[in-house]
Amino acid sequence: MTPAFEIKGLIKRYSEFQLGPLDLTLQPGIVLGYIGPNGSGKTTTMHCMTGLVKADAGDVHIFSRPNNPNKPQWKLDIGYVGDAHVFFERWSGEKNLRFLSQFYPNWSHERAAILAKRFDLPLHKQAKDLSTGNRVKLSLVAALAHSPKLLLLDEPTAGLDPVVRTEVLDTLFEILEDGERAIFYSTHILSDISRLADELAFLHDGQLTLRAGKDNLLDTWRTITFKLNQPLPNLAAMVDHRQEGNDHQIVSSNFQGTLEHLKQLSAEHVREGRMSIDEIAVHILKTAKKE
Amino acid sequence: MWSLLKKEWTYNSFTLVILLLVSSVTLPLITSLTEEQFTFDAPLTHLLVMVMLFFMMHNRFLEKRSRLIRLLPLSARRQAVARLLFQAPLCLGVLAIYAVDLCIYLPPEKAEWAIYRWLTLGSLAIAANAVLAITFDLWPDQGREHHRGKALLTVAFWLFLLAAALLYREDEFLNGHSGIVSYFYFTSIGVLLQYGIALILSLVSIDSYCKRTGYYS
Repeated sequence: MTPAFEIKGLIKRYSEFQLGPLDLTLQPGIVLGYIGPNGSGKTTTMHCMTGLVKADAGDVHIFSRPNNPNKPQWKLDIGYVGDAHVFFERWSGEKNLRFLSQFYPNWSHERAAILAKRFDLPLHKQAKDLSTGNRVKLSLVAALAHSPKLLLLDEPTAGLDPVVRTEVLDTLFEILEDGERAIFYSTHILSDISRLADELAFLHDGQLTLRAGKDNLLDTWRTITFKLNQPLPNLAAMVDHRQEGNDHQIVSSNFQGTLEHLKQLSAEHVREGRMSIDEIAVHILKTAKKE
Repeated sequence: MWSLLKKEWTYNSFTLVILLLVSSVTLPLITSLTEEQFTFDAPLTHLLVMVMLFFMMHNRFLEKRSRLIRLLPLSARRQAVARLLFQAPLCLGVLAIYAVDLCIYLPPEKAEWAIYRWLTLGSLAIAANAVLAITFDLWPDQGREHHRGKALLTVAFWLFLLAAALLYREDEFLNGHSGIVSYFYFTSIGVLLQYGIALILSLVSIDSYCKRTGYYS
């Protein structure tokens, strides 16, 4: 199957930061959450992919086409929403969409109208008069109206208040839940994407620290509490540890292995608890920071 | 594309009218208020106008608007042509501002000489400016270094103009007929210098850009 995108050995250097070398592939129909703190290189990755920034090394292929600026057909397969929502400010939303439609053969005015209606977007207003939330919505309509096979979302809800953010995301996820397209969604707020993501990739300081399926993470990570009448050795897969007397609480990235180990140590009152994907992500990011 | 061009040109034309008004009205106003011939005031006013122009030409496209266009499924070549077309009215506007200044302030005995110089330098400036603007827009990275380079170039140019105006404002030869002559003299050299440097930088970076992106393949 042709990957939606394939990044190989991507490197981008700035004076105080380097992204990569980064290898990342996304198969069609998969939603990949790209998680990392601010400044970890998420936006740089997106910019390298869309051609806004030229990488120092490495290749990016979108549906097998290199992202060559002189052969821009690969851009037809992409819908991109970045952190800046740029329009011709004195044009109405409708006119902005009409302008963009000229460049995309697959553009559907009908689809744009349906999306605008679902987002409750006032298309007659000039872009400059739209609220931040409505600008995000207009960006999303513009990115989706040509039915791209790959959607790149780079913190699209940044700067929105929680109410508007939830509203935008709820509508967006309803639209995207058909599972037809690959989605690469970067954010530092995991709850934004945890509902939709099939897989999660964690980025820290320009390096990919972990990529795993969401279900796999949910199946293998646990908090475990127990009593132990001896010093706790370094357990396999132990990510976090708290202790009060003989009472221990640990976070394990492989709870079955850890339980086995605890059994050998004759730990008592062993209890395991499931973790939410948000909690898991926090531990992954914390661990990356420590390392 | 036409709708975009129309919009950009309308915007540019409107801005130019304002700039021309500023240029044409402010200078005589200052003169009448100070009751002096041009020595230092004209460069200052002109400086203001040119700074406005510079920021309008480069920053406007460099930032958000540039991003929008760069994301469109247009080849880099077509984007370059589009930007060249966007810049056309502004380039003409620069010439127009010079023309208005010349018509108003140039002593008749110097007219032929100055107009010749104006045309030569103006044409060079326009050509270089177009290359500069396009290069800035197509520069693969829009990072801090890029902005720093652009800002340094601008600051260097205006410092030169300012220093020249300050140094030679009392010069008898140059100010003998009118301060405006010396003003144009140094403006011209300044423009030439700025665009000369920019042209070289642009050619070098365009060449490297083309190599990296496969323009030549």
